[in-house]
Amino acid sequence: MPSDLGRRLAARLGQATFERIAAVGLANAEANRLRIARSVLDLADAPLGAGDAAIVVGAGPSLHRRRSLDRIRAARFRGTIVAADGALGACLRAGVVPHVVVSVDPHAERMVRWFGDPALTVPPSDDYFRRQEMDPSMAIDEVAANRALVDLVNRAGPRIAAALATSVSPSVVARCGQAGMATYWWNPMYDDYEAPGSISRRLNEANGLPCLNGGGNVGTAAWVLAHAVLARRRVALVGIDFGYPAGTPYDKTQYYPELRDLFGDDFARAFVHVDTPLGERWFCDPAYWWFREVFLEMVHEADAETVNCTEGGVLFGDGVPMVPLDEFLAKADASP
Amino acid sequence: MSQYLKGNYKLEVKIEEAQAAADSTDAFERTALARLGGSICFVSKKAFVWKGPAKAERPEKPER
Repeated sequence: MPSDLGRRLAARLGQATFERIAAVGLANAEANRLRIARSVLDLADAPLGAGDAAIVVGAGPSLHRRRSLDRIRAARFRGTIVAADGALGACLRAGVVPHVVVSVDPHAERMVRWFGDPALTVPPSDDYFRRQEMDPSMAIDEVAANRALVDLVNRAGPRIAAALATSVSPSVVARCGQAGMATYWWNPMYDDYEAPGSISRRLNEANGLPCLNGGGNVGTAAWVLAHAVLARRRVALVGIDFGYPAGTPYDKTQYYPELRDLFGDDFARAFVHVDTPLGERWFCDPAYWWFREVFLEMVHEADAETVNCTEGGVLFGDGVPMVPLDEFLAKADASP
Repeated sequence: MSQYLKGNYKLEVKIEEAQAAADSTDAFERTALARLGGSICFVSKKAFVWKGPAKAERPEKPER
């Protein structure tokens, strides 16, 4: 079976993720230590939209395919909007200013680009942004798109709260500050805080910040923030695909270079293919399949109703009904 | 059976044990995994938010 390898790899990505990001995340936490002022828990009392509904915005391909942001704006959604950092540019270009933007990835150079990097003047050798579907504007003219994003973020920044994991690169912290965003901090939960020698516990003792169980990716972390920190009781997801629609060239997928290096011409074996309830065929790399499995585990413990309004992707199953975005927006509009 | 079937010849090629092949696959997958992980950990059966030992105002979410 072609997809067996992908599923087998996905089942082991929990430990692999720890090995991949813990050291650099902890180093960044130390580097960011003097910049930490507010806890993300302070956001629970902040005026972030009306009512108890929230929309979590990820950067998956459905965000553009389904014009989700245009529809949110047209509906004048009054609830809370929490965006993953990768979706910030799309939000602002659509005229949707999220109340909160979440960032967690410790990568030293890449993540600042989601906020617009004022230092970028020539196309970088790293094709991470040009190559993928997460922000299509980057594929056309990366430098011009970045410059426009810098302006957008600078204008909207004072109205956005940045919920930053202590693991983020100091370049992200500096950029958020430069754009006038208020920063609120949290620790990624690295391990079992009750285990002897727990890193999470030591980090909490060192900086006093809460640890959030992030679920493998920033989109899931944004969902955790929406219901477990902000206490929103009805949470819709848009742009949380955890996959690619059939027909997406493999070289446009996030982990393509790694899979190609590892498996050579046989790299396609590592992708998992899925027929969805919407009658579409999607596929995902092992990491995205892991994100899906983790989300489906987490959702059962949430004190909130979660509906997937992505209208695409592979995130469906018990506890995550797929609901048309317009239906969610209509109900949210009707609620007091 | 091996006590009855003894070869009276020497092979010129080395026969790889099945276990060695499995170990090789496992090592390869470990190498692969190190490059394929996510951007934040997931800790199974733990709370969504842990405020620290002194700050827990109420019992954490039921363990998952």
